[in-house]
Amino acid sequence: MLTRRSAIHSITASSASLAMAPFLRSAAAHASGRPEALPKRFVFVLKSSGFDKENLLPAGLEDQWSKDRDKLVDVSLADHALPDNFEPFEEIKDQLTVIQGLSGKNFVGNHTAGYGALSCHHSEQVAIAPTIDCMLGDHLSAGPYKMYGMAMNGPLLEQYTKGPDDSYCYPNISAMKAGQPVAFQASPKKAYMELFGSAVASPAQLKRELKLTTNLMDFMKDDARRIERRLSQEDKQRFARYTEAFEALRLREQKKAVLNDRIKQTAPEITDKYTSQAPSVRIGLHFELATTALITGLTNVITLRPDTLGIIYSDLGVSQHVHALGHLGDGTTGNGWNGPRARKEIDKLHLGCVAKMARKLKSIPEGDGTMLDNTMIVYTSCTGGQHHDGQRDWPFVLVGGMSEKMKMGRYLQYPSYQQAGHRTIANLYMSLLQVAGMKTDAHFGQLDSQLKDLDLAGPLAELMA
Amino acid sequence: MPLPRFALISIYGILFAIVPGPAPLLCAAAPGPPTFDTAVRPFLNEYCFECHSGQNAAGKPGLSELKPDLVEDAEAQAWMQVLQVLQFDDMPPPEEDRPDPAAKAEVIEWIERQMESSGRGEVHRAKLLKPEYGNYVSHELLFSGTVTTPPFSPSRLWRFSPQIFKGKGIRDAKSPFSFVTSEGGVRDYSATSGVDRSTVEMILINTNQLLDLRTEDGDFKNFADRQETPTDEQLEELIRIEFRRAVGRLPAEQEQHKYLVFLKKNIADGGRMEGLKTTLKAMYLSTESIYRMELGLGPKDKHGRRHLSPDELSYAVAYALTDHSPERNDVIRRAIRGRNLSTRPDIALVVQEMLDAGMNPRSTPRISRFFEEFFGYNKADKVFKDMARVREEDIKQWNTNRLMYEAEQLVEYFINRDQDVIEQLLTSNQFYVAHPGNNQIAREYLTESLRPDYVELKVSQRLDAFIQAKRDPERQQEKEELDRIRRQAEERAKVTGWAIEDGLRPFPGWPYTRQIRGQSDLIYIGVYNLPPTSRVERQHWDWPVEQPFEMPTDQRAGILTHPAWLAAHSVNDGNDPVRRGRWVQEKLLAGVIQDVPPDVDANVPNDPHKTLRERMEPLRAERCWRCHRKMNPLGEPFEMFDDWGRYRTHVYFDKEGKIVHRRGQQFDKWLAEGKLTERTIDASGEIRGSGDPQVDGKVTNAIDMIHRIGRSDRARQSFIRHLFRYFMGRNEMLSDSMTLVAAEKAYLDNGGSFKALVVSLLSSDSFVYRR
Repeated sequence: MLTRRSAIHSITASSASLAMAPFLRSAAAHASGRPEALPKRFVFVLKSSGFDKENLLPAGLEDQWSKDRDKLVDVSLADHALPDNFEPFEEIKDQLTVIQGLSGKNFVGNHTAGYGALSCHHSEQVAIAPTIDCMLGDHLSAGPYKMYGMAMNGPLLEQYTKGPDDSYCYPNISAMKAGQPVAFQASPKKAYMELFGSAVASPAQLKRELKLTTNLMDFMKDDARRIERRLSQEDKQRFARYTEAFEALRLREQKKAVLNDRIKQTAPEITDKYTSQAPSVRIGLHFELATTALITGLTNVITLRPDTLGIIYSDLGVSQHVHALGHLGDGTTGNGWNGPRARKEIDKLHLGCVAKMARKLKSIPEGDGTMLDNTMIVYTSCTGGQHHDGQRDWPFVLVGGMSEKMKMGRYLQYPSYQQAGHRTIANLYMSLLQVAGMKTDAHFGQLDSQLKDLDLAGPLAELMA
Repeated sequence: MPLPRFALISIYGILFAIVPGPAPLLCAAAPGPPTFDTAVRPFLNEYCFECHSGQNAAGKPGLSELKPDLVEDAEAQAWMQVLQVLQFDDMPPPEEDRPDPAAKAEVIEWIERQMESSGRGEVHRAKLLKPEYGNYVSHELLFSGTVTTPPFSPSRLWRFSPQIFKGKGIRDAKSPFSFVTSEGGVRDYSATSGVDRSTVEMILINTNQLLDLRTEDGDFKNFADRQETPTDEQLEELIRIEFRRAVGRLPAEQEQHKYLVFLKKNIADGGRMEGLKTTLKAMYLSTESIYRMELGLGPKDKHGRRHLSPDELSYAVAYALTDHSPERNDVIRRAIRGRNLSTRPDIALVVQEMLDAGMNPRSTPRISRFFEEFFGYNKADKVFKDMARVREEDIKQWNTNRLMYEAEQLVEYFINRDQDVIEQLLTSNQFYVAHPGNNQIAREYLTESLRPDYVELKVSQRLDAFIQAKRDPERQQEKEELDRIRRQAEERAKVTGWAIEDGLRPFPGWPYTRQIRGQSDLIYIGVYNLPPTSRVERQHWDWPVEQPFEMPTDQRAGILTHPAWLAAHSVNDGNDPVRRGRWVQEKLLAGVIQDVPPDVDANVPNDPHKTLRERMEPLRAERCWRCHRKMNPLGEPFEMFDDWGRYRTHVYFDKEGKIVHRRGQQFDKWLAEGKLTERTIDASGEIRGSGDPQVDGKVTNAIDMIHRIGRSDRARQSFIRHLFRYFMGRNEMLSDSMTLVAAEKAYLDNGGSFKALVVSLLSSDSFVYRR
């Protein structure tokens, strides 16, 4: 049977340069099977247009959103039937956690908090701080990619491209740091070629590509050296980051080359689905590629943007775009759904993909458990609950585990905004950072001045095992 | 580790032999570095020990017990605090005599030197490179005329701005470059504009995408499909074309050769097409595609400074005034071809000619952007105003785009008129409202609207346009369009007739054209305290065809009283005196304000019964007032305006004592019925620290304050410092003193000429020399 351990053994057996050492060391550590050495992975899935909170309530629990809830609800999902949309999670119920009542009210924007949704800053269109996915990626990923993003579309790289689906785009979701947004791949085909291209390339082709990359990076470094000699000490330090980039990019290609055998084993099959424009097909492919990239060890952090306000889920029979559905109310779509129903069906589609990814990871042994035990999938919206909600209640669905450092199988609902015991999405992110082995300060991101009377330090205690 | 020269000089008050380099950068009569015994102890003795000796209330050692070094953490913290209170002029207390600036500068220098020697300097140094710390260099010393150090800029790479990237036209690719400087000031700074892995990745993504598109377009078809092997000449030609496309100039012979070798190697390793693409990627990733190169490749002078080469100069001048490379500018191109761009007088001539051709957002976009970044009026649309407030407060139409444009028109007018520019921008009561910005064009539209055959004229103009565009006027769509034109013209003629009956100059309205921005009504002008009317209403304002025109002197004085500036410096439900005061303190008084302490609660308490000024009263508590005394007294004078920019004299309260914000008919009715009580607005304030006793003192309102500050030496010098930062892309160092003094002199000697100021700065030693 294919296991990560066998694959990693095959990696470490191949020869590689000194620069590869950390990557290989971490691969070897993972291969040892010790729980603390097992790789940790995160997947962030950020839908647009909010996430209807009614659809997240397990059976038998009272809806209390309209009241000023001052009590924490913390119940085991084992004791409650899951809401309808969560049916595909039934068999992994103990690795599912639903959280409601967190706020992120100060990360405002026009229909989206943009980068703020993952950086906890008021940062819709311009990245002013690193986002949590990039921070985790930087900490966890030893593979070729620190993190990898796929989106349905977004502000386009080029207006001349044939469509938003055929290129990289900037969905304003992830940033390495201030002013450094991460491009997401919108085309499943291009994502495939980038991640798994070596599976369909001949050895000669691969060699050629690596040679050309090496040529380019060498040329650039040599060219830069000419300039470097003339710079002041201060500018030299700044300039070094430019020259180091070439080394880093070359290293990425080298790391991919080391993973070639593994990539060949795991690469998904290229089918005619890859040319489909149907939203649900494209979303499905993004999830499939993401799952395989994690299994292959190409990265440890993936962020997916399964839709934007402009997407029309025509293959679900919906005639309006996502934004219009948020305002549809009792009006109907082409297939007769009203607004809330159409939104629920979209959530269902996404949750189905999340569940499929989780089940796949659960099928692969790792250490004493499965890959899912060391992976956390975080499904939420870039703008909190509902379509125009003001982010007082920002729902999250977590699936997976973190070497048992996180209590799963729970339904948590925190006290309402400004009530004692209320917590924010920053508290959740601190929990994620800590279970990933990262140190956090007392707070993450910008504080909400309207919550100044509450103690908002540290992670969500209810989640931490 | 060797200390970076550039940073040291920006920190230290005076230049000393610590600066490495072949020629000493000493002032003519510079003393040795200040020591604790010669500079610090006497200063503390005179100004501080009286209150700060012995143990303080918290039991911590007082100043007199501090060790004279920064080795221990606790001592270091205490000294940093001393540094801050001196830099921010927080101590001695305001009522005490101010210390001698030179003596203070020595104490600051001593502390900073100790920070360096104890390894605590780096964080501080990095901070001082940011634009918001530009004012840290002593203003008095900069303009004292006593510093004679030959000015220079550090030799550097300056990453392209997003605007330059856009102009380079990799189709519409997203710019891999963005500013990380704060939004409230100069954005494009060389020291803060980094390029790292993610930028390089973005450039690669852009380039891959571009090459894919060009391949699809068949750009490389001949090269890829040709049967025979390309000759060296063919490859060289290809390199020339592509290099020019990527870098913006032809390659030098050596470069040409280097790329040829590279291309051939790539073709051998990866095949013809992939080999070419790899080679092109190198061009787009090359330093010159990313950075402005200002290394100083010209001759070295006796002070160890290197002149920018003619090539470097051509780029420096082009990017100082425009977003395009020198090849795209006629004046610079001519100068390069005639070999007339290598000395300071050469630059002066080129810059003068570029400015004389007219300064506007198209020809000199960088000049226009300076005024936007300096004043910030272009951010009026960034402040969200609730539509419910727009209705309730009788705004009719909140047209921020138009207001920002009218502020821009004013700037364009004054800089091209070129007399007492700084003073006029700050104090003039001349404004543009609903005007094309060109009196000739305004007269033409007015004349046209007065013609008896106006309606027929408009219809026949449209008919001509149809014929020109080969559209059939008999078709249904065209017929409907003609009907619409006729109806609109008839409406206009009717309103024009009413205005003439009422003895007013009719507002003609005009469409968008290439030269001017269209405007069809006067509905938005209420924010200027002028009577708003829609295009079908009877006009109430005697529209001045010749503009700018004079607004009431008690209501408006310059850009800071322009609704665009006032709105940009407001919050969504009211005025923002703190930010406005900070603006005046930093931009006009060259003052510094401490970073907001982390535990400050920035909320102003809500109370419908109190004016904003009253609600801010708690800031006058001692702890807050240390910083807020530098802002509130300069920002509260603007309370004579509401946050839409309307001049006001009174605030009104209802029967319950709540402030009434409603305006319009209902408000007028309540007022007439005696249902409201009124109180005169308190817009008083105070100017401190202008360096001129004639300027300092209490002010009655913003108009009074602006007239005093706007004509002061300090405001002029502070403006010049900001312009310097903008052009040089860095904070001024004390060694730039001669440049700044000369720039001010050029401005004054030429009757307050902005052009003379720009010419002086761009032909200064600071601009042309690198070290």
